[in-house]
Amino acid sequence: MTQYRRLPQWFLNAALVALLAMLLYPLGFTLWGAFKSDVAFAATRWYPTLPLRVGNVSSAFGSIWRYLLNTVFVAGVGTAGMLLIASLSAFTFARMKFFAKEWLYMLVLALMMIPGALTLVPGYMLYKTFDLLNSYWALILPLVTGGPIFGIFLLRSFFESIPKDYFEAAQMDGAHDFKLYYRIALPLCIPIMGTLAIMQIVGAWNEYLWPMITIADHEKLTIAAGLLISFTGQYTSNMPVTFGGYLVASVPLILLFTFTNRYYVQGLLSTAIKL
Amino acid sequence: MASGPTLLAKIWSSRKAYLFLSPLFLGLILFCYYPPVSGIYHSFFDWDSVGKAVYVGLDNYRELFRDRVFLDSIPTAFLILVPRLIIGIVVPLIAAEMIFNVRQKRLQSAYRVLVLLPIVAPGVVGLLIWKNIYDPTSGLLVALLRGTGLIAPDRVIDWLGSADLIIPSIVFMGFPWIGGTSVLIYMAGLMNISSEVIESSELDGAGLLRRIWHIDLPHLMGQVRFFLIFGIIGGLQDFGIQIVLTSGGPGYSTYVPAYYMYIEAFTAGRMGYATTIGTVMFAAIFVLSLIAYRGMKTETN
Repeated sequence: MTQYRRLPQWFLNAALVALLAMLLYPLGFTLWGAFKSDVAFAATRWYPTLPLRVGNVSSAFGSIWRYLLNTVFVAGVGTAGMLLIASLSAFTFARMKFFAKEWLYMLVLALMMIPGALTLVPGYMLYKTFDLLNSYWALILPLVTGGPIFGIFLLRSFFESIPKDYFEAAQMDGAHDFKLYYRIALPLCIPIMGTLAIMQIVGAWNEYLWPMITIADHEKLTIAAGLLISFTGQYTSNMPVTFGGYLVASVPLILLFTFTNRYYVQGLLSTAIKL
Repeated sequence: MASGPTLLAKIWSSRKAYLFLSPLFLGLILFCYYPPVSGIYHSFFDWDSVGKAVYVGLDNYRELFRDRVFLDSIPTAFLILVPRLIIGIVVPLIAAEMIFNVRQKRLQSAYRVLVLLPIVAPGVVGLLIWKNIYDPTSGLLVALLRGTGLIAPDRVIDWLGSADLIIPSIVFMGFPWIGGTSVLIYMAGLMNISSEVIESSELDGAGLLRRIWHIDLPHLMGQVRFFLIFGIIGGLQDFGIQIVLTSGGPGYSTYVPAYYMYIEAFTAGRMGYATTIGTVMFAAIFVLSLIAYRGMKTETN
């Protein structure tokens, strides 16, 4: 093998480390910024220093815990509903024979091509008509109704790739369709469902436009909207506390990431997302 | 006529599948199919924020295509979209190739995880951090330029406040632009190329760049298409930067159609006019992604 034609490994690693350092620097900047005093921040904001001022983080926590709680609730309920509907529907499309199957499937996929720009305003008016504005429903329902679309796209091809024998053996034992779904299909798709769940939770964490529009009562805002509308305005002059808030806002995602990044990476690497 | 079961019989024999699909379609019909229809319908109405709708025919469209703010917002959208789209497709590909070519498996999986790490910060936080980096007097960017002597130590640069700098600043935002999820999607594609293909190309003496160009790229076209289409769909509608950082300014220099729609609906209360903008955007996005899809398809065949 012609080794000289390859990039030398040390060079590749050095370049990657440099790129990752640039990518991650803003995160580090926020992290150590959150633990500095006002004075230290003004003088040495670009690198970490001691002592750590934990007070920033706890006062930031005091003003945003409510948003965090709301987000956990909304994302939790919404994601559970999404996974249930997405996996059951994808299983049906992948494993059952029925009339107008491909036609219905295209009807679902076509929704991925409908831009939010077209639906934002009429969607808002719809929630208004149902009197759902300013309630948790306005935040949860979009996750449960629109959320499964991408999941079905992802899960259907996954279910189709499961060898037929798995299902046929169970069918011999007299298992009916629903049993095939929760006994065989569900356990096999846990990693990819993990990927989907992470995507949806991260999505809910990041969403600020819809909560900003639909939720008038600040007590019900989710984290991104809460940070944007009320928190940053409150502490404009105190950067360390602001960064403390960013840090607290990220902690649940950091935990999620720590425990699930293997699933997420595996899930993404095992499915072909392409057109 | 009597060839096979009737339509009703076919539907009846599919009842179980339909039952399984009913939760999905119940939600879709109400919250996903109805709003776009309602949007197009109400683009012909004077629709206020209370819900009162008066039919006005094509008036909204006539007004829109004479509306300077709207017309000027279209080139702005493309000035922002095109470079960001290219960056969003090319840079993760380069990063994926780099990580893929790392020999040591443990290092490789460490890179895979690290590249994803930025998703732990909510997107708003990312934007707000960049606001800090772009601070005219004390931001990281001016500090770096001062430190390296590229600008005078007392120079102030208003990256987000000057009409000339705002678009490049928006494009530069997020540097080094390595989207972790995109990198992994590319890597999945690279891992699917059989190692025999790669090895035989190496035996033929193909260098790294030739291998990437002749083997990897053609295999990754599906992924590139995915990023291109959804990049167009997502990019043309995005106005997060306008909401969080610029409010469309300075002046109208960062107004894009989607942001204008938002302003018309939620500050001016002109729901009908806003749905007109939404409908025009839908048509434009549809045509553009179709062209992109067709163009890419023939290119690979």
